[in-house]
Amino acid sequence: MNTLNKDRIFAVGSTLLAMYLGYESFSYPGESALFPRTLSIILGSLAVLLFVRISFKRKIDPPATTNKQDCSTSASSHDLYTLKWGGFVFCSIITYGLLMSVINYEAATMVFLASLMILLGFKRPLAVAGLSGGLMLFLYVIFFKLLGVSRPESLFFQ
Amino acid sequence: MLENILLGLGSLFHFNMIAATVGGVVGGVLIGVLPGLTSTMGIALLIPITFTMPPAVGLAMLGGIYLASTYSGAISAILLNIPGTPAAVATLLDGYPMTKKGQSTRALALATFGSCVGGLISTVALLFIAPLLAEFSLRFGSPEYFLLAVFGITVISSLSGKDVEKGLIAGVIGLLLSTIGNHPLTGYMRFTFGIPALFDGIPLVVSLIGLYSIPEVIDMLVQRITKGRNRLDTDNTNPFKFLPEVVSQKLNLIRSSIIGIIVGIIPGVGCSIGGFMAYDAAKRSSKTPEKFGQGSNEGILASETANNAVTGGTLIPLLTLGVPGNPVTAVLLGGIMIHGLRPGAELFTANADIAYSFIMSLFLSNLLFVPVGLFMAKYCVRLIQIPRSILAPSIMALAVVGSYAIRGSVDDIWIMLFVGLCGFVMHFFDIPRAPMVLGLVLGTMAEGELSRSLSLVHGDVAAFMLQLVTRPISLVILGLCLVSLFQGIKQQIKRN
Repeated sequence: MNTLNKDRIFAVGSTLLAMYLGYESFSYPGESALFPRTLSIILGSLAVLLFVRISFKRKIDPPATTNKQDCSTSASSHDLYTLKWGGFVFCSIITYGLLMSVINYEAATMVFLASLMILLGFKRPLAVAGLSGGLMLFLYVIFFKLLGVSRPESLFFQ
Repeated sequence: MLENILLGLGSLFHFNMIAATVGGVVGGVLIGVLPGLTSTMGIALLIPITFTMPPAVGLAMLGGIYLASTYSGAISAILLNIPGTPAAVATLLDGYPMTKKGQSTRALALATFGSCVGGLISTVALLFIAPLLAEFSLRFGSPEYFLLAVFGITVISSLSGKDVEKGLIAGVIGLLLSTIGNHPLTGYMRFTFGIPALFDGIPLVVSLIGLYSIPEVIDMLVQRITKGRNRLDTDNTNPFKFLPEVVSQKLNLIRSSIIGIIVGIIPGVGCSIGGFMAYDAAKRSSKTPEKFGQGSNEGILASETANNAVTGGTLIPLLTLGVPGNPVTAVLLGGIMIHGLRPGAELFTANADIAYSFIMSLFLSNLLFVPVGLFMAKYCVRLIQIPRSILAPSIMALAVVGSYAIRGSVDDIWIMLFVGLCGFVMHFFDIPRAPMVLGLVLGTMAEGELSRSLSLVHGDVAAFMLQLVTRPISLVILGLCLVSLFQGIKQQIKRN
């Protein structure tokens, strides 16, 4: 996806967001709605302005044709790669959060760290176990022992 | 003031303060050396650790991280030709060529001593300018504070990206995120969708963690295959041998420090610009300008002195007016606010003990990173070779546990993830995140002051607008907002 299309999608997305938030904030009573209402109007105006400006820019400044296909292919693959890793990171953290609520913090952290290290290509089992255990202990001591935060509640192994 | 300085000095000699400062400096050096970790991300991740500490101790730690990470970006720039932080970009021009000549210790020593001098001079400026500016801020009323929040956002929005609209949109999204939860005066719930965890709004630190750790981790994983390993060229000379060389460059040190302080005070300009401006000034006034770019000692000293002088400069508007000049100080403002402190005159009067302890701890941090940096440089630079497959999961775990620890609630992990998703989307669409952080940090203040201003004129919007242009200070701030917007638009036109 090239920058122009990205900007377009972002501008359209921001306009839709502004419309939704504006609609939502108009249902609030006067004083409580003033700030979000004003902000959604500003957001919508800026998004429309961005959309118009990039469209206008395209008309007066057409993209260069040299190596166009190469550039767009490389940009697309980079975007796909970014989306893939983005999905991976979000899914991992969701799994970690859920695991923490099911099994306890210690086991969830060990499983999360060890499996992620292996999935990301670190293949030495002993080092993986040592590092995961060490990190889990480090976080445990800092947050739950020194700072006195209570451990998250879990279904099993509480 | 002398009394307060002595008070700050007295509190500095407590074990907790010293330990927090040392911890901050060591952590900051490590954060700065690792190119994947930024000062902003480091401070955001470590705020939960300082949360339960006394405010002065917590702030001393955060200050130590800020100063040391700004300095230590130079270590990887000099030894590996990779700037650990954007502030070290100008140092790269002469630092790495000097290393290639087999003089890495000389380059490191010059950078370290220069950073120390720049940091110390800027802390002196902070010590004497900040209380005066804070006293002046007593004349500010609600309209002025509202405009200050708007000013902070317009400055960062105008200067932090390629398109002014994108920066402003990011700032407005940040402001909108800050409206989630109850209204500061009426208490009416907004955008909560019936989720109890959102009733008190999005916790600031949790959102800072999400915004700065998740997109960085994804970026780290995307780039891990494309970047190879670097060779280390180090020598074992005594770094203190180069101290006379630093002393002989008095004029360069003072000039670069002044440039750094001025650049720091102007919101939105940043450490890297300060470094480049001082580098350019040093080159212009040098007797040997041809040596610049080929391992010039003047070049390294100028850029490093200036970029660390920026740190003290950025803290002046932050502590006195609550206007952060860059993303790091925006996160630092979050750190100050979660300790229940509010920048401005009150910080230097009612909480003078905390404010002056913090400033005094900055002196200590500036002195501490000399031995810490010189000792650790060659060891911690090897950290760069830690596989991303270890670093990325560690950051994720720290982000998750840190978010949970703020209120002891698993819901905060999901909030962190949601804000992280916003950050990722913005990163994907090449939208600067700094204005969003500022929006989040300043949003509650902006809305609260707007509501108070309006209630003073019985809700009459026209009367409020009139107030903005008839009160002298608010008129000046309004003018500054317009100037910063105009500057951003001008820069955009120039770029296009």
